[in-house]
Amino acid sequence: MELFWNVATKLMDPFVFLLILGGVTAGLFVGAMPGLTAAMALAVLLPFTFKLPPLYGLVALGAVYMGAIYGGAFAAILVNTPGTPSSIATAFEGYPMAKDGRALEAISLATVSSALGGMAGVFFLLVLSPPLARLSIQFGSAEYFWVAMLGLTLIASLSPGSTLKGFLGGSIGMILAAVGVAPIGGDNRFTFGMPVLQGGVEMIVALIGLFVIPELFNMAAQGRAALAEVTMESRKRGTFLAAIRTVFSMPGNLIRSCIIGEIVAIIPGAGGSIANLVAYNEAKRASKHPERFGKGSVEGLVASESSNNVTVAGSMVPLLTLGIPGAPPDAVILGVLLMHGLRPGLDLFTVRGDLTYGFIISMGIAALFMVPVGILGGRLIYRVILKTPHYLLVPSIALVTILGTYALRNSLSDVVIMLLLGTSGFILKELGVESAPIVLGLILGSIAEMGFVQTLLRGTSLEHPWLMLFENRLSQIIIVLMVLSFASPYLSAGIRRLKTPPGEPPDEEASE
Amino acid sequence: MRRPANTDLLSGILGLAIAGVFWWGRGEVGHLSIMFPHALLFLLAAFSVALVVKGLVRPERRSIFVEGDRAKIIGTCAILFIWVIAIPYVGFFLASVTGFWVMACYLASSRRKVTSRLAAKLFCVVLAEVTFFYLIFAKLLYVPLPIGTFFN
Repeated sequence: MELFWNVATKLMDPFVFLLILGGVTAGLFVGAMPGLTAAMALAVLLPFTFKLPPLYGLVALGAVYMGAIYGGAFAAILVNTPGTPSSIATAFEGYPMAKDGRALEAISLATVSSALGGMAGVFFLLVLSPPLARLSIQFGSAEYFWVAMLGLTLIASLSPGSTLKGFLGGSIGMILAAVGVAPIGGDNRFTFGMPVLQGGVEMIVALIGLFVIPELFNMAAQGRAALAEVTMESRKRGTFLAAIRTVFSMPGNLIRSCIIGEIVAIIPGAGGSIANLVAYNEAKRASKHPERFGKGSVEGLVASESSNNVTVAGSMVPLLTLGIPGAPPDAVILGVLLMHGLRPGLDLFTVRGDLTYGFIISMGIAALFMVPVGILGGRLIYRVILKTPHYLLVPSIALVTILGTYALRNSLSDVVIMLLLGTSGFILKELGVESAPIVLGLILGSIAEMGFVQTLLRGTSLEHPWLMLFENRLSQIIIVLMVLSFASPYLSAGIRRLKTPPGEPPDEEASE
Repeated sequence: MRRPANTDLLSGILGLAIAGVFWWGRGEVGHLSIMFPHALLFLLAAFSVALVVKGLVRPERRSIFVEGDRAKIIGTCAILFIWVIAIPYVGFFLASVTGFWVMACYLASSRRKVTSRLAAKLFCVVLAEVTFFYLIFAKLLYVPLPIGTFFN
C-alpha cells in the first residue's frame, strides 16, 4: 500500500504529465518519419533526458517509445512507407484505405488500437514481471550465460532473411562487446593500441550508429523517391467514436492480437516488427473475409496496430527482470537504467519498486495520451511528413545524431566510432546482415561473458570446469529451448519442402 | 542492370576478415580475459566459413547498392566524416553550420538546380536550426561542445 502511494504521488506531479505529453509527441513525430525507427527515436532523444532524475528520464523515454511505435502508422497509412518496422502490416491495409479517401478513418482506428494495445502491454508487464523477477534470483552465472545464448539464437532465427547471417551479425556484436577492459581478468583486449578503445564500444553509441546511419544513407540515396505520395482526400471522415465502436466490435481479433504481441514481445530480439506481421497473418487466417485483406481491411489494421503497441511495455518483461532487451529500443532503456546505477532483477521491483512501477504505469498513461496527441496532431504530422524536403531532413537527423552521441561522454571519439559502425552496418545490411542482431549481440555479449567466465571459475576444482555450464535443471531447460530455436527455421523449412508437391518449386523461405 | 552479387560469399568473406582482424588484435592478455573472446572468434569464423560454403554451393544472389543514387551515399558519407573531423579544429558550431549546409545543398542538387537564392535560403534555415540545438545542448543541458583549437 505504501508503495502504491509512493508511485501515485510521484506520478501526480504535473511535470510527469508534461514529460509524457512531450515524449509521446516527440516519439510520434520521429516514428512518423519513414526510415526513423523507434530505436532511433529513443537513441536520438536520449541526450535530452541526461539531466533528469531516473524516474523522469524513464517516463520520458517510455512515452517516446510508445509514441514512436504508434507514429509509424502515420507514414504507413499516408505514404505507404512504414514509419517503423513495427507498422509494416499497417501499410498493407492503411494505405489502400487512404487511397480510398479513408485516411482519417484509418488513423482513428490505428489510434484506438494502439492505445488499447499499449495499455494491454502495461497490464501484461504488471502481471508477468514480478513472478519472473522472483524466478530471476534463481539464475546463477551459468543460467545467465545460457539465457544470453538463447537470446542470440532467437535473434538469429527471427532476423529477416538468412539465419546464418543472423548468427554472423550476433557474433560480430558479441565480439564488439569484448573490446576494451575484460570484465573478469581486467586485461585490455582488441584495442589495437588505441587508448580510446579501452572503455569499450559504448552500447548507445553502437545503437545510434547501427540504427540511424544506414537509414540516413538510404534516405540520402533515395530522397523522396522512396515515398509514394497519397492525396489525403477526406471524402469519408473517420470520427473517433466510430473508430472506438469498430475496434470493440472485433474483441476476438483485438485480444488475439494483444496476446500474440505479448508472446512475441517476451522473446528477446523479436519486438513489434515481428508481432505486427504475425498478428496480421493470424487475423487474416481467422477472418470471415480474408479476401478483403490487402484492400483496406479494418481487421488487419487493428491487428497490426494493437499488437505492435503491446510490445512496447511487453518487451520490458525480460528487460526489467533479466536484463535481456525484448526489442532493440529496449536496449536504450537498459542503457538509461545502467546509467543511473539500476540493475535489472528483483531489486528493481522491491528496493526500487516506486521507480519501476512508476515507469510501468507511466507507459499506460502514455498509451492514453496517444489518443489526443494523435487525433489533434494527425494533420500536422501529415503535413510535416509530406512537406519536409529530404535534403533538410537528412542533415537534421545527422546533426541530432552527432550531438546525441557526443553528449553521452563528451567524446568526439564516440562520434567517430558511431560513424564507422554505422557505415559498416550499412554495408553489412546491403549484404543481408541486419543491424538488430549486431546490436543485441553487443548487449548480450557482456552478459554471456560474465556468465561463462564466472561459471568456469566456479568449476576450477573440477576436472572439466565447463561441465558446470550444464549442471543444473534451469540451465538444461534453457539449453533445450536454445536448441529448439536454433533448429526451428531449418525444421520449418524442411516441413514446407516436404509439403510442397513434386514439380513445384519450394518457396524462397524454404530454400533458405 | 548490374549482375546480382553472391551475398553469402561476400558476407562470409567479410566475417572471416573481421575474425582475422580481431584475432590479430587480441593483445597480450591472460587466460581469463581471452577465453570467451576466443570462443566467440571461433564461432564467428565458423559462421563465416558456413556462409562461404553456402555461397559456393547454393548462393543467395541479389543486387546490392542499387536503390537510389550510389554517388549520393558516398557523398553524404564523406560530408558526414569531414563534418565530424572538422569539429575539434573549427568548433562544433562552425563545423555543423558548414557541414549541414553543404549536405543540404548537395542533396538538394539531385532534385533541382541549387541557385544562389536557394542556397541562401537553406543557409538561413541551417543557421537557425544549428543555433537552436546548440543552445539546447550547450546552455540548457550544459554539454561542453567543442570550441575548436582555432578559436581556443
